Amino acid sequence: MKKIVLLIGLLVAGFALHAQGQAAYIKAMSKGLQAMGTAQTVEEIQAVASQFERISAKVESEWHPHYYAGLNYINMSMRAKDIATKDKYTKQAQAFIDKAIATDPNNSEIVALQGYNYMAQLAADPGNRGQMLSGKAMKQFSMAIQLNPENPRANALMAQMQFGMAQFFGSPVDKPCAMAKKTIPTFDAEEKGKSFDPTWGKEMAESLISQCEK
Amino acid sequence: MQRLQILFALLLISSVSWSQTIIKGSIKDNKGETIPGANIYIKDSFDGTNSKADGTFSFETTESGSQILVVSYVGYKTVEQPVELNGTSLNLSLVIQEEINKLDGVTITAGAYEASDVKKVTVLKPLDIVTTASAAGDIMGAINTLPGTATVGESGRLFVRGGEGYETKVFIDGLEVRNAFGATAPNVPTRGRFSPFLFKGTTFSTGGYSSEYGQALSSALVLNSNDIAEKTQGDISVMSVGGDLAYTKRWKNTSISGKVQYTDLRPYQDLVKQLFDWEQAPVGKVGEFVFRQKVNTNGILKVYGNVDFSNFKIRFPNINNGGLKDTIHVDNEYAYLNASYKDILNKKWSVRGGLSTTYNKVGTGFNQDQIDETEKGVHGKLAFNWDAHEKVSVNLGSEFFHKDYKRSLDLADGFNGNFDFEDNTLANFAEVDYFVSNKLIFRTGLRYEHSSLLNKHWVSPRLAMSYKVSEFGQFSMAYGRFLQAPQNQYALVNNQLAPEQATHHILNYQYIRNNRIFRVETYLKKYDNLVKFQSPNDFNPLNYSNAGFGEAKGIDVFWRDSKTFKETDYWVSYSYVDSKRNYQNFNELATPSFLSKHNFSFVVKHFVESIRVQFGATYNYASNRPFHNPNREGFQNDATPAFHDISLNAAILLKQNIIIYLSSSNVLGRDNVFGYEYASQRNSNGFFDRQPIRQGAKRFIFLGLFITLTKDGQENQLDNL
Repeated sequence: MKKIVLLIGLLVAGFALHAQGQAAYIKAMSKGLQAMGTAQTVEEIQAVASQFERISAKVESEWHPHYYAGLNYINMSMRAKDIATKDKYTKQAQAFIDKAIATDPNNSEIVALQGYNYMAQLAADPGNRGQMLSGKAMKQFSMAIQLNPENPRANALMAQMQFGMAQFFGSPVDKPCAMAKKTIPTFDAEEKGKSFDPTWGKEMAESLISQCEK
Repeated sequence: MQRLQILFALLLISSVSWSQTIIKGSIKDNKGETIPGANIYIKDSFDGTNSKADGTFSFETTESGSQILVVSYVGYKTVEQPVELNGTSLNLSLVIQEEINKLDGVTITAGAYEASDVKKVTVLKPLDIVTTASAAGDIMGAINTLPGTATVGESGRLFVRGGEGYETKVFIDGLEVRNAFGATAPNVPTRGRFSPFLFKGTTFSTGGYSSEYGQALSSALVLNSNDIAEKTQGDISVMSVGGDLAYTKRWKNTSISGKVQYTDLRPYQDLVKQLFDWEQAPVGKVGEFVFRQKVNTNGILKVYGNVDFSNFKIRFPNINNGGLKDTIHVDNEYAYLNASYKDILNKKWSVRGGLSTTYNKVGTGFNQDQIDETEKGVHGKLAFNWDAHEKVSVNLGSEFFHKDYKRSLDLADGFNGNFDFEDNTLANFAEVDYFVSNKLIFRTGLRYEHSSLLNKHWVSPRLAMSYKVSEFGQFSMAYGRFLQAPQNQYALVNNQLAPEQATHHILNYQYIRNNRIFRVETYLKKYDNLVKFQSPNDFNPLNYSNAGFGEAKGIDVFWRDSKTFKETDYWVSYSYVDSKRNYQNFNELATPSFLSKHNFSFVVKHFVESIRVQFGATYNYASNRPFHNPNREGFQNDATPAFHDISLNAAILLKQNIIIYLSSSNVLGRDNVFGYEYASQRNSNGFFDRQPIRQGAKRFIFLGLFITLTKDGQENQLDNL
């Protein structure tokens, strides 16, 4: 009897500890996502990236922390001034994207993020990298769309690339513009704060749509 | 009792969240500089923060007891410090140390021009090779706009720092390529055999290169081939000189490409007036095969094959025969196969290895005489990279070279003969890189070579160092001894000739900042054991020796800027070289005829986005070249006029998958003279008659249409120009 009680006690304690770990994870993730919503400067984004980096170091098995650490380093790269700094951040982002892919290889969101990182590398030096990286980025976006045709980020990013291409070649932009517009209801249907799944990207799609209307 | 246990268990849980400890402090590096943005956290927890602009930090943690505080920051070693958390706030002064960055820190730059990895700022970008106006799609043509090279218009080969064309050796994925240039006749310029779009990176070394590369006196051109192909696609090219068809199939871990190319200069030469008298313009058939297999995460197997059949017939006036023309007929069969494997074995070791074979058969008909030359080469290599220590990297390996050369003569006067020689060379190399800091690196290397033909061995030392003087500038120095077996035609006469030898001393300064590169390099090169003989028509082995010697010294300057002018990229190269030799049939120390003291190149590219056209222009200049004028006293006593060439090109992106490319060399139509051939006998007035060695045509015009077919129609062949 005593032993059973002890066992139950330990089990309860174990669950509680696990629940507490889970709670701490949820709390840490929520804190990170909240900070991400307001971060504007490079320093603020760095703080968010570091927060996810810490979670990523402890919780190897979840793809979300790796994903967000990567995403925030990409965002830092987009804001950095010189090529060397931009490259430093996309390199860091890549390390987290690799971890995310290892935890969940066929995740449309992660595949799209990989494409987004190629886009960031391209944006650092378009003249020299455009040729090589635009193809790579688009390949990732089309893979992401194949995995989940509804993924609004993959669609919006693909639309962005195709829009740029069409503009460059002076060909009609109807197709990418329609693609961007189609993402808006999907973005709106995404409930924020319900899970840790990504919900970002609506502003990006909207800004593309406003370019389409010009 | 039971209750007590549950209570105890509950207490255990809740106690975790009871105590809170504040940890604050500051982060500095070992030089006392404050570090902002470092990540500070309790290991295995979610608690932590970033250091602020002044390097200070502060956070609260609910962890307790003995814990580990981690400080991590990119480019620095991660610090793990044990801390005792019991509610009393901690104030810590932490010091982190810079990590040695073997990849992106200080690198040896003496002698080397790199065109690689789009992410690094390099002297050349892979695309440059195909968008340089004077290059006409030839890798060697683009390399020839870099300092250290000399324009030798009648050859087309790479002449580096007072060295002859044969002194430059070409490697693909670390394995040798014999006969990297197409077969040709004297004074008919040749081109590199390999299409530039096969390669993702190029390192052109003008001296002081690693002990891994041997059998090259002056220069190593190292071409790194593409990895697995991106996607399945078909390519069609229609050019004024022929056309090609290519198809690439991509699977998950495998890609296979095949290409057939047919070039025929006959229609072009019928249309555009030629100065050379071609009886039959060059015709070529090339087949290429590329196989890539990803074996595991890091391991990749590459196989490349190239088969090339070409021929032409040309007539040259013979100055010794009253201007009557000689007919030269060249027929070439070439096959090259290269297989290599690269893998990372573990954190400390990686391996590279492979095998290449070259088969080259050149049949030359000279009037009624027929000379057939066959060269077979095999190169095998196995090398390891050992990350021995945080500050030490070791590169070591073994290689063997097999060479088999045959020449058979069937002359009109009834002479028949076969001559051949065979050599096996074994080489071992070892090289140690020592990173003193992220600013200073030393490299020492040794290369051991043993030749079966001579049954002799040689040990050649290599030394190099680099010192970063500022964030953007660095000095680099290199020294080394380089050996190369005598050229085939000499080894055939006397197969006991020792390798020729060059000793390089290089001092380099490089400044790279924001898409602007400045480089200046000065060097001294000493030649020893050069092949010396009385007359090139002498076949007595005893008259051939290694008594030749020489020296080259000079300065190379390079400036590239793709920042100052919008959508415009330009570079300027200048080389000065002073060189004298007493070799071959020279009877005194003199400057050889291939050498021009001053070489200058200006390359500019401008992209006009509204019409999607990239315009390019190149100006190449070479100062006058010495030659021997038997009508005057002395040796190498006269000089040619200087060489000038302005080339233009345009690449039009018609559609996403269609490109039109147009280029012309020598738009001003200057009649450049590279030297003179003198008659061997005096004419009736007592003078030696002469005829100039000239360009094959006033200009070469190229027009091409490149179409790429993919499922989504979004690729083009810009790489392919």
